[in-house]
Amino acid sequence: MSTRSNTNSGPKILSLSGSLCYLTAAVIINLLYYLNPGLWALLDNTLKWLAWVKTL
Amino acid sequence: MAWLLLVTIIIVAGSAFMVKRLALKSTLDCWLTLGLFSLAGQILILLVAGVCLKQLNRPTVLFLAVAWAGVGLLLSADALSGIKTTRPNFYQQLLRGLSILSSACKHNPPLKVVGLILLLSFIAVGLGVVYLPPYAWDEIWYHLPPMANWYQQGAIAQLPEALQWQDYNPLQVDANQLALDCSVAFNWANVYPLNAELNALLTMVMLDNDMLADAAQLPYVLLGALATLGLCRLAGARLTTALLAAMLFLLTPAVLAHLRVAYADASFAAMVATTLYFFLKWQIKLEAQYALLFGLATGLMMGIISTGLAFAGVFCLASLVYGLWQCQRQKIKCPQLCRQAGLFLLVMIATGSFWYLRTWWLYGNPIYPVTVALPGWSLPGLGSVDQLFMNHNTPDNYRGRSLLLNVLISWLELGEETYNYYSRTRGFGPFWAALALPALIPFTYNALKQGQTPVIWMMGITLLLLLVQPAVWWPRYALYVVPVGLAAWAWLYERLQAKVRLAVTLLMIFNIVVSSGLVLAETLDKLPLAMKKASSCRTFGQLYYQDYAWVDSIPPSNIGYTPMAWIYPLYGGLQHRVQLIDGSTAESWRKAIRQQKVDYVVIKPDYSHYELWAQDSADLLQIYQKGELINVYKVKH
Repeated sequence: MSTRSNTNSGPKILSLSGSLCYLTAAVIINLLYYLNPGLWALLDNTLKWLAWVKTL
Repeated sequence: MAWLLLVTIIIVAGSAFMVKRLALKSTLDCWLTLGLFSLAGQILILLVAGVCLKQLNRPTVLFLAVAWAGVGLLLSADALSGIKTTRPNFYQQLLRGLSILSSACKHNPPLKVVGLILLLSFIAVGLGVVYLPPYAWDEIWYHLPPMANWYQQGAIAQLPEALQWQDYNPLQVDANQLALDCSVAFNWANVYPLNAELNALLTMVMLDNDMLADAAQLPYVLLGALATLGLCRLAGARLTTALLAAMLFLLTPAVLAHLRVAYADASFAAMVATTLYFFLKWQIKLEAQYALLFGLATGLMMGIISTGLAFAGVFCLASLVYGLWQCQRQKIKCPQLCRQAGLFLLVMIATGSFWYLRTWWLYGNPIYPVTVALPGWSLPGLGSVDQLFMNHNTPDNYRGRSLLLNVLISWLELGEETYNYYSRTRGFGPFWAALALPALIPFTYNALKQGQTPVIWMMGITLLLLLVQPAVWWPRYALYVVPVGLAAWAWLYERLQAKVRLAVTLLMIFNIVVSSGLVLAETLDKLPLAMKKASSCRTFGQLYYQDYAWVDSIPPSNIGYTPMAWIYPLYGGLQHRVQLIDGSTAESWRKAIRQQKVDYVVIKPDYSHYELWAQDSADLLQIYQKGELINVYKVKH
């Protein structure tokens, strides 16, 4: 994430892409929270399935 | 209420005099120090009254509070030191702090909105504390029973229950029963560090009732909010953003839930944050007064839960490394460093070691019942941390799964449990998960890139604490990461593009409205019914479990209980005497009933053989009430 100084005294501001990247991460985590806790059960099962595949 | 208010004012005033003596320049440090001194003073007063004088009553506590204020007054007097110094007026600094806060709020809509949500949440929590009785699992089993017992005995002494169970053999029971047996008063209440619970004891002594027992964690949590503010400022955030982060700490679901239960976890997290703050301040200043405050915070933290002992070890090690490094760089002279180290250790031991020494004296192991087993050296106990706590309490789907995945699911708020005091698989809240946790990455990256020493140490220490913490996925036990995450968020929030910052603000407000609503649901659900009832009817039995309602209708009595019945509700708002009735055989149990002169015996029928023994004791016991959870027998005298 690149930063630039917008004023002489204030903190350096993140670039738009950096800011949006952060916002996107936040929205994705929030979506997981609000919409789909089952998704993690699926991930868990997938990991278990992968572990089982490894044993083959 | 007037007595509690009076003693609080006296302790705080005495502490304010002591703060003046330290001549701190920062207003925030003054506030934090005032909190530390007040808590230390309160603990010292109760320990002197309860342990040394065995006079745990209102006049003694008041007298000791006045003595504390007198010591403060003496310390603040320039005449005592013989040196005339120009110290900033402490009260002016406090007023200045308040005026800065009010002017910061004036032109900051997010602060106003979050402040309003916080105010409404605190009103709900406050009403909950006043109108609802203690109800949460651990507090009615082992956080509050010793306080009630000590209040009634007028002294802080070993609990009779613990003496009866001193020969408990863990090898005779399976792992699940071991964890269950250890959960009750006979063991935990007698061995846990209990600094946070002493707040409940103070309210009992000064009010002669337990109305405010559930507010035990409030002073610590407020200190934690100030420490969060301090950590944000050290991370480079503006005052307004730091203030927002402090409010968000208070709105963290696990913290909000804990403000209405006499547990110790939110207090512990708050004290870890305070210790971290003063550690960083000592690093910056390398002055004796900050070594003292760092030691005081570490000691108070140690005295809350046993994990604090390991955490104190981490802080000691970190300060030693940093001190030696600064010595080598000639930033501090070696004798000066030794003096500060001595001061730190002295204060830490003075304020944090009491509970460990007591347990060591009684059981031969400062962290009993956890067995200490090192090569060539061991101390007695009932088992390891895993055996005693974690094996039993880990959710089934968390067993055998990668630690990282467990942490992710729990910290990212993807667990399926509701928000409550248990906070086992969620509790940080969607705001922290979505906005603070991701902020840690750019925050740390920037600190490393820019060589920001305080932030690097902040992150490093937190990482070390997480490594020594058992069950790090359990949010209630890892709550101390919240202030650090909020510091990262505060730093990043100010650096976002304006439009993105607006979106983040809206997301933040939405998330805290949702999580606060979910946390407060239980309180708000019970409040209307409780507020309609007379104060004598707002009891555990009438509001939570009907099985315990009989306690409210009997005159002050001597109640005996057998293992696994909830203990604290039997005190009936501190009007009944409560004691364990136990025995290894039916005959010895019946003998105990006669000898201990109890009027009622409470039995959990599905635990062990007590119910059978009671049914075979028709000459001694008469059934008084059969319930879903417990059976009550009246003793024939």
